[in-house]
Amino acid sequence: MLDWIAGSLLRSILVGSIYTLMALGLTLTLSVVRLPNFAHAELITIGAYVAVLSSLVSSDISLALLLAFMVTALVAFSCHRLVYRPLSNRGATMYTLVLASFALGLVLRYIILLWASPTGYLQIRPLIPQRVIGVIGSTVILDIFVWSLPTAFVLVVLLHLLLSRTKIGKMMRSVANNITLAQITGINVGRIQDVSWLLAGGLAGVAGALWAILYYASPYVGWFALLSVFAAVVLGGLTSFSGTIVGGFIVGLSENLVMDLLNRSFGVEFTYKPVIPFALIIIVLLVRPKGLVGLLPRAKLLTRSSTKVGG
Amino acid sequence: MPDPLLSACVSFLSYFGIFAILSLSLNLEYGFGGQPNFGKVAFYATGAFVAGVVASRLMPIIADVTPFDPFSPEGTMQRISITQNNPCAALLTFLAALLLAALVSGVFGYLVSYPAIRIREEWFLAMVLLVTGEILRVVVRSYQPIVNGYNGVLIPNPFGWLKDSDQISLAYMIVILAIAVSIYLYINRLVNSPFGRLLKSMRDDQIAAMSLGKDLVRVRGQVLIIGSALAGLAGVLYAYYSGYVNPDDFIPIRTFDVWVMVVLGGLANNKGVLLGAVIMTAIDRGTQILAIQLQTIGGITELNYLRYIIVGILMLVILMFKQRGIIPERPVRTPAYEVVEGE
Repeated sequence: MLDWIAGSLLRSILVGSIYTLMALGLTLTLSVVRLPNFAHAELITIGAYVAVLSSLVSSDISLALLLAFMVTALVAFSCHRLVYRPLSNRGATMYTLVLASFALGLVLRYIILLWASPTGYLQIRPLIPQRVIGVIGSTVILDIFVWSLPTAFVLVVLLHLLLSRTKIGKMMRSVANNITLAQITGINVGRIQDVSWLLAGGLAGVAGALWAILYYASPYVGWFALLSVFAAVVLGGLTSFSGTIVGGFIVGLSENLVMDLLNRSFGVEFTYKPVIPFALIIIVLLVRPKGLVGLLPRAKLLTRSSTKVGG
Repeated sequence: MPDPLLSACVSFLSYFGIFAILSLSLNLEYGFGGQPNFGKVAFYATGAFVAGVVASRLMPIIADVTPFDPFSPEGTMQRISITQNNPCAALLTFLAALLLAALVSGVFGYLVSYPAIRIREEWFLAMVLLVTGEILRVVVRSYQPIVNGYNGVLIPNPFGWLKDSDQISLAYMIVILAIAVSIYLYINRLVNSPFGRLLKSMRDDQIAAMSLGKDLVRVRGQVLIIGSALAGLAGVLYAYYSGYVNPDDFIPIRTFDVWVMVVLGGLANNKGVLLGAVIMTAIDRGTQILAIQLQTIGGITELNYLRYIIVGILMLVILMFKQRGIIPERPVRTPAYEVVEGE
């Protein structure tokens, strides 16, 4: 009894911290650029495949993570410069941007499929050697668990420090809070948005690489994770960073611990697992549309009351 | 003349009819009413699932025979034999499926949007609808008793009693097009009515519309009921066309396809939307036929992926360079305008 709880708790925290990394990038673009970026899924996928490709050259994990960060940051930056910024300059509404991000994600996803299908990379694990160091309940503990959890955790803490303690973080928050006011005080909003895209992309890449190392890489990896990630963001109140961190862990917990509980106590099949994040989104929107914001101390400073753009 | 050209035309027109209904209904919701329905597929799927349930459960009752287990081979054979021997029962089942699907999808559309339309930010509605589509698909594919889970269920064409297969698809195509044309006429009437003007006022300026005493929550609910019911009809037509209800047909990309048709053709312009549906059908069918042709020669399976890349790029290009679509919305010309122009 206790060992399976411990096992699924461990998995919950692990998955939760990866979801948090993914969700923080999404929150960043949502608050600073005001775009619910559906192509975020493909950034995650690209990160996963970068980890696979880098493992072909060297089995060094930190190299894989670093490469994933850089490549995806660049992809995200080019998406911003080539698609989103020109669109915004033409006065696009939020739905136009959502559709554009969906279209961009679709194009990227199927380009990856087009490449991965003939080369046999449809479902592949990076060639990084792993050792089994223990079994708790039905959860097999690999040595990568031991460091991937702290890595994800440290990244979350670093991002939090960046946003709360540094000048650029302060600028980002002020752009998120009120774009016009930020402009008046002399903040270069365009540059802050560039930085946010680099950061959001990089985080998605690292999270994707971690996911690939723990599980596998496939062209759909990001898309399958995306709705869980959206659940984390909605739980966090859409634009609150601390809320998103809590949201990521709640989604991780409910997909693992709660799912295991439901399976053991009520015989709910695991095929229903994808329903959990969706149900969370619906419940949050019904009961508390502002998410966890307000329940958390200081969260008010980081949020915008509305996510609507233009008219 | 049973030649491949004719059957290609019939398949093109059948798909066009189904796509046209879907895109016209989204145009009513988003183009005219400004309600971002990112869950179009949920109601399209509801229609198809209702068709599956009606054909597998209600058909033996209508034909007055003892039903077998609907998902067993005997059940499938029974449906086929009823269709071949009892045209009346086959057509009645089809009619029942259409009516029920419109009803169920409409009610479902209202229930799903009930909480979200009470919030001013339409972004919530978009999110809730998107999520609903995926929940529905996951639940139906996991829960066997509805349409046999991910195995799906076979449903025979309502014209299965006709002699040869060309006649069947031709007759069915005529039904699809007749329904599509009547929906086109209906929506055209609707958007030129006081209700249509109310929709446009809601889209253009919510505060102004509310200040005139319009109950926007009610209007949103109404437009979503109509749009969802129409999408449900399209779902039934698609299910009977393909002869098979499969939950995995209804992935979120289907919603995106409908959006491409509407945005490409021209928001709030029904003729433009029909043009969008023609283009989308051409891409969809064209790549499909090409893929089959190529597969028989060389075996390139990746051509299916190309379809999505083309559609995605098309969407990006149209958003970038022609945001109002190929045929943009026309200003309304009232009789008073003609009087002024005439002078």
